[in-house]
Formats: sequence, C-alpha cells, structure tokens
Amino acid sequence: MRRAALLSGIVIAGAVSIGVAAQDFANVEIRAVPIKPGVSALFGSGGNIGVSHGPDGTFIVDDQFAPLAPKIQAAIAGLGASPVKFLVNTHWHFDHAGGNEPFGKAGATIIAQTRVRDRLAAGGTVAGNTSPPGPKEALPVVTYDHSVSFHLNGDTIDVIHTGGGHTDGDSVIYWRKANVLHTGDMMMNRVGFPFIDLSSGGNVVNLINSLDQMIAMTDADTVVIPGHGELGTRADLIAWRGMIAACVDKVKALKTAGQTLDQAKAAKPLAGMSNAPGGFVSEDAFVESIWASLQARGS
Amino acid sequence: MRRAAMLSAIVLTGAVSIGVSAQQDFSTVQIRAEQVAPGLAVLFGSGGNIGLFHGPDGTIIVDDQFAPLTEKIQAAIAAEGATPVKFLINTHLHGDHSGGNENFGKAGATIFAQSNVRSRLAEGGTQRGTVRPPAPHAALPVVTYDHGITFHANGDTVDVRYFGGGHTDGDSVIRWRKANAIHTGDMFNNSGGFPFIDTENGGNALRLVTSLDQVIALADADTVIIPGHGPITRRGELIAWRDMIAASVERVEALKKQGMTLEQAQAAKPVEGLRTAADGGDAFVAGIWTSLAAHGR
Repeated sequence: MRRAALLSGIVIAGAVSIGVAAQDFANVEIRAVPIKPGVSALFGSGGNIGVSHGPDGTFIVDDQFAPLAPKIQAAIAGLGASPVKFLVNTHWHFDHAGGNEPFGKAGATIIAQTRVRDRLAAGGTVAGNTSPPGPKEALPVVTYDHSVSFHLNGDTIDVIHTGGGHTDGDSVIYWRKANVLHTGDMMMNRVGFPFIDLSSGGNVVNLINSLDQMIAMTDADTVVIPGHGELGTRADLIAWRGMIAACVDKVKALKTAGQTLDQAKAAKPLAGMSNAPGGFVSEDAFVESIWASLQARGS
Repeated sequence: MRRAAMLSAIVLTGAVSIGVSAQQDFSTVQIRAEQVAPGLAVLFGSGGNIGLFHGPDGTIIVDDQFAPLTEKIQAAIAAEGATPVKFLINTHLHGDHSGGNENFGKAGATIFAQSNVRSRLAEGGTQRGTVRPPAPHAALPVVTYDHGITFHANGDTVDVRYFGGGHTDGDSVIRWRKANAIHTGDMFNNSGGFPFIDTENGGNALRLVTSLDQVIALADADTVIIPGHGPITRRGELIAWRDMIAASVERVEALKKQGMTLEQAQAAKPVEGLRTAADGGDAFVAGIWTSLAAHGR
C-alpha cells in the first residue's frame, strides 16, 4: 500500500514534469510542512515551494502552476503569513514558475537568475511542453548573474547560481540560520534519474559541480527541500550526487572506448542504478543526456 | 562673485560629507528636479544626488540624502508624477546618501545595496574619526549583492554594479541602458574638490581608479553622467577626474619611494593645483598614502 502510494506519487511527479497540459488541478491539495520557525515547505503539484515568513514579510521559492495560485495563497495564509512580497524562481520551468503571473499581479517582486528571465521572456519547449513567451507580469523584475541575499525575518537567505546543471539558470536557496537548503531541480529526492534539460542549457557535468557546492554548504543538520520528492538530508544529497557521478562514469567509459550512442544504450550501463525504478527519466534518456553533456564539454 | 559662490558650495559640500548633520539646518533646503530622460530625473538637495526613475512599474530611487529631508524628497518625487518609492538603492553607506533609509524603509521601500554597505550600516563604525552608530533595522538593506543586480522596469534595464569600490568598499554604479545614463555614486564627485578616500570604510584610491576605468568603459560620448555630488555632466569630465586621480597617485607614490614620511609628502603639496581644496589636498594625499600601503606599495 505504501509502495503503491509512493509509485503513484512518482507517476504524478512524472506527469507534472513532462507537462501534461490537460492536467486537472481541481483535486490538488497543498500540504504545508513546517521545517523551522518561520520556514516551511509546500507540497502540491509541481516543484516544491519554500516559504519564509515573519515580521519583514513573506518570501517564497517557486510557485508551481498558475491554476494553483489561489490554493497556494490560501496555504501561505494558513501558515499565518502575509501575502507574498518576494518570489524567487529556482529556474524557468513551468512547474516552478507557472504561477509567476498571478503572484506578480498580486504584488510580489519576482527575482531570478538572468537566464531565467531571458528564457521566460522568449518562451520555449521543455520535454515536449511548449511555454509561450511570458507576459510581463510573469517576468522577474530583479535579476542577478551570481547571487543575491535577503535579510528577512531574522535570517539571511542566500540565493546562489552555482553554475546550473538542470538548466543554465538554476539557483539554490540557503537559509543560514534555519539551516535549510532549497535545491531547485538540481536535486529530486528518490524519484529516479535527474532530468538534464539540454535545450535550456542543462549539463550533467555542471550539475555535479553544483551539487558539490551544495554539499559544501550543508551539514548533518541541514534540512534539504528538493525540487521534487519529500524533504531530505545532506546524506540524500550526497547519495544523489554519487548516483549521478557513477552513471556519468559508466557512460563516459563506453564513450571513451569508442562506442556509438546506440551501442552505449544497448549496453544498458545504468541498469540497477536508479534510486526509484520507473521514474520519469528512463535509463536510455539519462544515457542520452549524459552523452550530450559530455559532447557539449568536448569529452 | 562666481568664484566666491563656487567656493561656498565646496565648503558646504565638505560640511555635508563629514556629516555634521546634527548641526546642519535642513529647513531651508529645497529639492530641485532636473530631468535627464523621460521617466529619469536627478533630485538635487543637500547631500548626494538622487536618481529618480519612475513609470508604470513603480518608482526606483538611487540614494536618499538625510533623514530630515525625506518629506521634501517624497514631495519632489510626487511632483514628478511618480508613485511612492518601491525600490531604493544605496550607492554606499555614507549618511548623506543613506540617511533617509529608515524613513523610506518604513514607508514601504525595499532597500538594495552591496553586501559591504549593509554590514557597515548594521555594525556601525567611524568616518573621519567620528563615531557612526549602528543603523536601526528599518534602515538596513533587505536585498544585498556581492557583484550586481539588474532591474527590469519602466521600459528600461537598469544595471547595478559593484566594480570593487574605491570611495568605500561598497560603491555601486547604476546604469540605465536605454536612457543611457550612469549614476556614479561618490566615486565621482563633480563639485570641484578632490575625492574623499574613506579608508576607515574600505576606500582605496588605487581601486577607485580601476573602478572608474570600468565605469568609463560603460559610457559613450552621449551618456549622461550623474555624479555623487555636483552637476550632471558627460564622459569627458569623468575621464578627466579619473586621470587626475591616477596622476595624483603617481605623484604621491614617487614621494613615498623617495623615502618621505606622510607629513613630508603632504608638505610637498604634490596635488596642489589639480583641484581646489581648503587643505591643499592633504587629506587626499593621506588617503592615497594609506591606499598604497594597503597594496604593499
């Protein structure tokens, strides 16, 4: 029963990630999980939302899908928080930034890495799901190349572009005092292989570099809010990084040996490597994205 | 007569910069607006020049002078047809540029600044030997950056960049890409005197030169240059300012290499004639001296 529920969760996550446009949001419930005083995670459909609230105002990380905005706003109010003042997008994907327009119209200031704004403004296709150019209210008003920090509600919240990997604009968000890290989609907790969005500048080699920086920011007490999946720990982050690096090594060995991509896929180098068999990214798809990442790096 | 007025202005600027705000009478100060481009104006009052950028996406200002002037500044902003301030950027920590932070913060503005500006405001310190108490919570920047941020508003793209400072260790430069205007903060003081190198707050004359090189590289002949103090000007004046500082550094370094003490170097008046200053440039020479020492020179 528990396993069935977990698999169902994975399937939903998969459906969200590949963007079934016809998805029915009517039945989605937003579940709030308090992490530390004034810091919570919201789980619904799409990327996990991080919330900081207190006397200086409400700050959130990601906003799932536009149709969910009223439910998310209700869940935020349910935490005792005021309406959203600052909204950070970890990256531009529709299941993380889909609510930008309603939140922007409601008065939130949207902040993101420079390339997130560029991609939202231009629109594009991710895993077969096309996002039109974003309306003005959906676009970040403040952008950064490297980092910004928010000094809010008794904490310092660092927003850092570590070089990306899932896309070319990923940011991680770290609450220094609460010791909480939101990884964006550079970590998905126990839902299978990572999704490397090469069409948005993603690269698995950059992802490993970014994960190394995240691991260096954390300790055994850090609460990790992944882009998808349940809350995790530093150990989960290290295991995730280790799984990805091991997969890259296996594919790289075949490539270095002179195999073609088709031969490499046929060799099934990633059999048994996934932390959640049946996840949204298949073994073959991950082999392909590792291959393309290595090509892009000239190796 | 004209010269007397100019000298008077220099003395006034000096008084403001060293922060005798407690004694200063702000009741007679008037805020004058000068338009630079549609939606972009400069407000002149007492203290650092304010950049005012407004339009359908809200009002952004650069610096906010002294706290007693906030109401007058708000009135001047409204008179330009702008809504209340949404975003406020501090070019640096000095009280003649950030003194209004608490008032504007309480009125709802989100304050942005380079990381070192917030640290110094929060911790307090000294400036020309005078104690600067820690700033209250509402006066502190809420969003900070090490390198820079960019605002996308009112039809323009506004880059806020930290090039390594020089006047302090937290100076930002603000550049409107479409309007082609640059607010230099106090890395450029266009009111006649020498630059103030605030070595107590991380200022350094050598870094000032390298920062100015980066500012100059952003400008073209048409760029409107909004200095930290003094009238609006163009790139040529900025280049002349940069060259004057670089020449001063060379002259002072030559004396230092001869084995002179700071007092001997000041007595030699190496920068006299390059600008007008009541102390003949002694404070500037001392600032350069400390800057050279910080670089092991």
